[in-house]
Amino acid sequence: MRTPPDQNLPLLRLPRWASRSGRESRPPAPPASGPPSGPAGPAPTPARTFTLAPQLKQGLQTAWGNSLPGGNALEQGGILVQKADHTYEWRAGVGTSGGSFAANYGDLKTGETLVATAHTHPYSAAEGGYTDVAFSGGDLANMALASRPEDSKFVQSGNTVFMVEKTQAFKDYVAAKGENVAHTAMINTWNTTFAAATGTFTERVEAAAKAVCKEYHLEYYRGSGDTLTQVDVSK
Amino acid sequence: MAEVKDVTVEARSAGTWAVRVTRQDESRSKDAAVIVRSERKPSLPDPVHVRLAGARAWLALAKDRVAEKEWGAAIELARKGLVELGQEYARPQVDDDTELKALAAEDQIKQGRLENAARMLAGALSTRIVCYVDLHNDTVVEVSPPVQD
Repeated sequence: MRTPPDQNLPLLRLPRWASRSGRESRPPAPPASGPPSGPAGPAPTPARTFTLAPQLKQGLQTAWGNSLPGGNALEQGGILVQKADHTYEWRAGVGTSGGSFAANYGDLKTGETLVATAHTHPYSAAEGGYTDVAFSGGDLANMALASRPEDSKFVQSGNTVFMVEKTQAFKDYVAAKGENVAHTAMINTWNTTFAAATGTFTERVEAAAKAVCKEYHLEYYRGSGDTLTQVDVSK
Repeated sequence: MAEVKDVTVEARSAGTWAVRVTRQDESRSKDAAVIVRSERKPSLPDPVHVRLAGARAWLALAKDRVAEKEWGAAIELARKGLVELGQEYARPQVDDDTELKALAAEDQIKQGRLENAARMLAGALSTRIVCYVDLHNDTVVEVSPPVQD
């Protein structure tokens, strides 16, 4: 069930519990206990797949296309907003650095809802030319901060799109611990996991990102084009 | 904190002060200064934003070594700058990926690509300095030499 780009109600995704075909609807899994150091969260469920809104897909692809100007890395990104008429719109921000991106929250207008933020992870040839580089510790940890109100965050690196989404269990954990404690704990989990991981740089980054998502019950997805599939972070 | 700490504070125009430091690499040294807005004279030995000035001086030294293709020295100097600047340098609205860049640089070192690593670490330090200046734009008036240099 793909939504035409010009329709006025393009969904960011199908309902959370629906398959891409929409024929295998099932309710969200009931919550279960989490590890002692993290929040309680839902039990593992079969992987979910959903389709990006065309505005977001195009925004991400344009951002990536502008991320290696002249062969030099320049992070790009933007925000996806839902306007008062319920349509979605991608608003590109301004890249200023190869190693950071400031979300352009100021482009959100009164009456609109912030749906997601997104940015790219480019590495020039002189930086090793890495692609498929998932979320940094900072990317994930700052989702605990009240100043980061978006529920979903996307990263595009090469052809791969990564998404992380807050769950109620994550929000409950942050509320219980406080945002600074949660932020520090998430950074520590990312750093510890990366240091212990084996494999390539990108494999170690993804291992660290998955560990944070598992520990703090963020939902983690990856894919390409307009299709993302939930990743089993327990593996 | 930096191995060498040579700090002075000088009065500038009304309500502003120059926090100046010197950082040394073997036989050469570099000065850097931060013009700080403050009603009171920043107090020694740790005046406000001294770590910004120190990081900027390390960056200048690292860039010199990059220009001389002394990759190993440049890597060490950039690392010193990253350490001195510390971890509190970015607004929460910033998705800061400089740690990823620094880790990728370490991966490049393992692969023997020291030039890549030196440039990446210097770049990460430069980005963090820019973030720091933005975070503290109410009290940081100017950094000298400018980060773009």
